[in-house]
Amino acid sequence: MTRALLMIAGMVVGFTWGGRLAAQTADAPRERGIAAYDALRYDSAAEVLRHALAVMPAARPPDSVRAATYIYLGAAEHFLGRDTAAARAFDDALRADPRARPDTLIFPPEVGAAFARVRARTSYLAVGAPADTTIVPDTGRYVVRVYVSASRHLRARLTDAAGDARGLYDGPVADSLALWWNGLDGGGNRMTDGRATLELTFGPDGADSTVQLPITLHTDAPDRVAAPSAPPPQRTADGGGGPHVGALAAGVLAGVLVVVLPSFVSGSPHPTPARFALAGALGAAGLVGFVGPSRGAGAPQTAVPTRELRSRERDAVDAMQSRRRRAAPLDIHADWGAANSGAPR
Amino acid sequence: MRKPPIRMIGLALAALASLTGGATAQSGPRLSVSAVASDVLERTLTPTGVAHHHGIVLGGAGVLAWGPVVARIGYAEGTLAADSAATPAHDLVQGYALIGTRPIPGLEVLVGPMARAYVRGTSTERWVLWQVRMRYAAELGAPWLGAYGEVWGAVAGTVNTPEPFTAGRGGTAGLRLRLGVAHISVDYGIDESRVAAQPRRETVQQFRVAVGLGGVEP
Repeated sequence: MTRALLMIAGMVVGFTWGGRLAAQTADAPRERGIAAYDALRYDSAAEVLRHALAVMPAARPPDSVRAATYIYLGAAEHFLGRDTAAARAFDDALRADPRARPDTLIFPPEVGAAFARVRARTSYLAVGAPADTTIVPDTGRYVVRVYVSASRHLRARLTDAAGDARGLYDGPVADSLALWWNGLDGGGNRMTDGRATLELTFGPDGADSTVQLPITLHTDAPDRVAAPSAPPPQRTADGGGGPHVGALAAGVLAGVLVVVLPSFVSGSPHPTPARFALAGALGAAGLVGFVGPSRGAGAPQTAVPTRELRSRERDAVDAMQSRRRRAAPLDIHADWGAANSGAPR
Repeated sequence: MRKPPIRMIGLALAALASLTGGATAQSGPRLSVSAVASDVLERTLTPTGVAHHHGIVLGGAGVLAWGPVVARIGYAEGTLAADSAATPAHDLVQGYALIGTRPIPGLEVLVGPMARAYVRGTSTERWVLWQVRMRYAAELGAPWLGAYGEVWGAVAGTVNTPEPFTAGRGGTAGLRLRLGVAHISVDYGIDESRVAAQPRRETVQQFRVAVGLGGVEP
């Protein structure tokens, strides 16, 4: 029992010390390099810092730790008289983090000036956006933060799977900028679900760099409102036979009445055969009413056909469903793994 | 004597009403007036034989509707020539004044007198029939096109002959075209009036064309 407890304690201590030792090992070159720079051993500092950058795990921009390490390296190279290497280090610092600046409390003004000269020639862009978020289109905001290495012109555009684009920004940016998108395209409509691309083009004309960030749009669709069921057959004044049939029936019935009246009225009428012409005209008139556009034979002018009522109800349901879908939350997923950071041409 | 099935015709008109529906009653008074020309075929059956007369009769008609109340009047006169040379021509004068109501759109139930006089030389045979008339009018799929039918029966009557009045009945059916405030109607009507005892009937068939103005069904 005692032996088992001692073994467990040893394992715990070993893992703890081992972890700390690994961390110290990872940070050790960088700290040794910085310590060498502070001790004015620039040659040693440059060598150690280059080694530290080589073993430092890569991170997507903005990587402030890597940028600061590059600044130390650049400063060391500067004091060694290796301006080209210093410029390259400063350039790498801005590439890692466009917001990187030499700390004026640590580095002398000449390092800051050398850095500024390099910075003026760069056009690096870093983007910060939530990996996963949900907004309500039109009222919500998807915020994208943009960090730049120097004052340049920025064009930001979001394009959905259907090719509809929404311009987010087109103008100068000096240091950083917060872009926001309300989930709608340029026409004020929801963008198509699926793959979309946030594209930022930054830089002076002719030397633009482009960052493309794929994002996925997904609408949490609301439950569909059921379409109205067919109303019961309306018993209009025409007795439910339908206006067209009623017109035909009225015309035919009136024609029949003309034909049979003599038989009903008189026992020996000797009716004129000319009445058949009128009977035919009444039948034809009924046929005209049957085949022509009808408001319903004899129906009041305020009556609305059932078909039109159903169409109005369907339109109302569609409009409501459209409003609900428009207000449905939009899930936005930024695919940082597939982000493309273009180099200046 | 077989009673003519006026009830059946009334039911037919009711069926017509049920299939189509009629004009909606409106609140204010509406008037319609028409000029009427009728081609009249008259057949007179008397104990001595049958006589036929034919001619054109001209007149006018008017309709006043106010809410559910409707009134109809009409007058016409003309000369009817006999089909045989042995029979003299005579004049026909007729008129009616009916008042009634519209219990449902399109349907009118009217009561009132209809008078008809046959002027034969120096003698005039006058018939006065108190009618109950049922009339139904309907659009045929469009407000400018309509049809109407009516049947009537005499509940009482008088005739200035030795024989008393027995029965009278009739009916009309026609086609109406409305052009704005103007209307044209063409209809066919037949009616028969009888006296008791001796076989004596007056059967009148009319083809009428009416042209008029107004906002009420003519």
